[in-house]
Amino acid sequence: MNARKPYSITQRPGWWLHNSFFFWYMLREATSLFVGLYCVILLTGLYRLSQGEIAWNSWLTSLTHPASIAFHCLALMAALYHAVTWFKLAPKIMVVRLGDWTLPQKSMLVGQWLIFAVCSISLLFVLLWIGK
Amino acid sequence: MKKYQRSHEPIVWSLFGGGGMVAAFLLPALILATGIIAPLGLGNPWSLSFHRVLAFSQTWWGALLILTIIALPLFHAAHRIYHGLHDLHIRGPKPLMLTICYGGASLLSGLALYWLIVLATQPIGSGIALRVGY
Amino acid sequence: MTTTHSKTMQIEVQRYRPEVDEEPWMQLYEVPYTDDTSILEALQFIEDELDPSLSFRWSCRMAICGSCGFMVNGVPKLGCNTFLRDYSSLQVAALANFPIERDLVSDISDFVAKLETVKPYLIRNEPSEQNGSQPIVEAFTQTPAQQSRYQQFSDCINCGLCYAACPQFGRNSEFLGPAALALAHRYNEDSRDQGSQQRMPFLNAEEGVWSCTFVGYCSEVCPKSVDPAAAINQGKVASTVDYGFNLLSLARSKEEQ
Repeated sequence: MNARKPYSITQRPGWWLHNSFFFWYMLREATSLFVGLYCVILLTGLYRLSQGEIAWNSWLTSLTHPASIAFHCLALMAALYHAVTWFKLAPKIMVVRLGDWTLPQKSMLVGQWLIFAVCSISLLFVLLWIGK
Repeated sequence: MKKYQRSHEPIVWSLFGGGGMVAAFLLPALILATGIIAPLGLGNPWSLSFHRVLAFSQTWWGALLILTIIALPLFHAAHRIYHGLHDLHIRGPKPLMLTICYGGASLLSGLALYWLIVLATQPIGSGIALRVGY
Repeated sequence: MTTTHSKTMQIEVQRYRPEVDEEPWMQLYEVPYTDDTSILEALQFIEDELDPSLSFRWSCRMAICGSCGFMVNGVPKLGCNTFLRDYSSLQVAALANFPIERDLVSDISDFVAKLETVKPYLIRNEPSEQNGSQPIVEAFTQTPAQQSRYQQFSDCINCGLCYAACPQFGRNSEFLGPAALALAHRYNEDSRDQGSQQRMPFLNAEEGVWSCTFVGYCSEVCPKSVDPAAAINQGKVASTVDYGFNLLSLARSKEEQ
């Protein structure tokens, strides 16, 4: 007779609620909802642009709705959290090597934030302060 | 011995990675500019004016940048949603889940490309504005 | 350090006796402890003094053998390098995501089979020219820089904490999992090894690197700082490159037809 009777516990759908590490992981994945929605908003803008000036201006007006601004505030936080986690993980995935020399993970992390700063400042400048 | 099959995940993972880069480097500033500062009237009103954005979207590099900023993060989101649903034990037939997530991202990216082509084939400058009687 | 035990702690320990129990349950023990009492020592005290029927695995007592992995308050830990002084209450259970054999003993046969699947040894393509079919006897030299590419991933002690930490393994036990995939990467990155083409078929599979979503908890709980999550995700890059080359060679063979 086989006395063995191994007991298996199957994972429950709420597994990520009982451990803070898993909770932050799920939050990281959830930032993609805001990323996707924001891209859909940009896509709508592109569509309105193709329809002409009146349509474009009404799209700009719709962005001034308080609900829209509230959404974008949340989306900004989500995008920033995505950036923080992304820059932290990227050096582990892409190892930069030149011959025997390996770029230290810390340097790559700092480098990414420098690129982030340059991108952000130039984008804000172009989108907000250049014009007629 | 167990037989292993090659996964096609490298295709979507590459798009996911590219989208994640775009989202991390560009989206925070973009969201801040288009969704918060400009709507609050704190920026230069000319910056997002119709003619300026139209002219930008009609250059080849402007169109490419717009397509990159819209399409790649869409695939990034689709990838995370696909795996997130798996994590949440929300089940469905695999082809259906793939179609909803990656098919959706492809469809929306295709629309972006289509509207960029529509814009590119229109006369440069105020052509459209005249046609809608402005 | 005094030898008298002044403090005691209540420890809940998971019990599962397959011959009588339908499912695991928790039993409360009171254990005396000092500042240097480890969880392993507490369990040994229970077995020696309170309840000889308690089953658990252990061997080296110094975080080298990888036998005494438990869930401590829900977190995968080695019993020998986790100390009672750092806790106010304790719950010790068998490692998550593995079938429970008895009490704190997990059935790790599937884990061992996965380690074997990844061919964790140096593979050479051809016997050396001088020796012909003779076994290879010469040493393969390696620079410190070449060694540093895989060094970190070779520190694994097969304790299984990373499997207990991995929700993707918990979701789908077909997933080869952190330790096995890190081990495969360790040999693929070794300049003396020529066997990466033999390892790519399972790395490329969904049960290989592509089940991982970089939760990263495996690297968090690893007692040896192996960072299996980094190894697996570097494996994704390798698998993506392999995917591209495979497409190219498919296109080329079609052209030749």
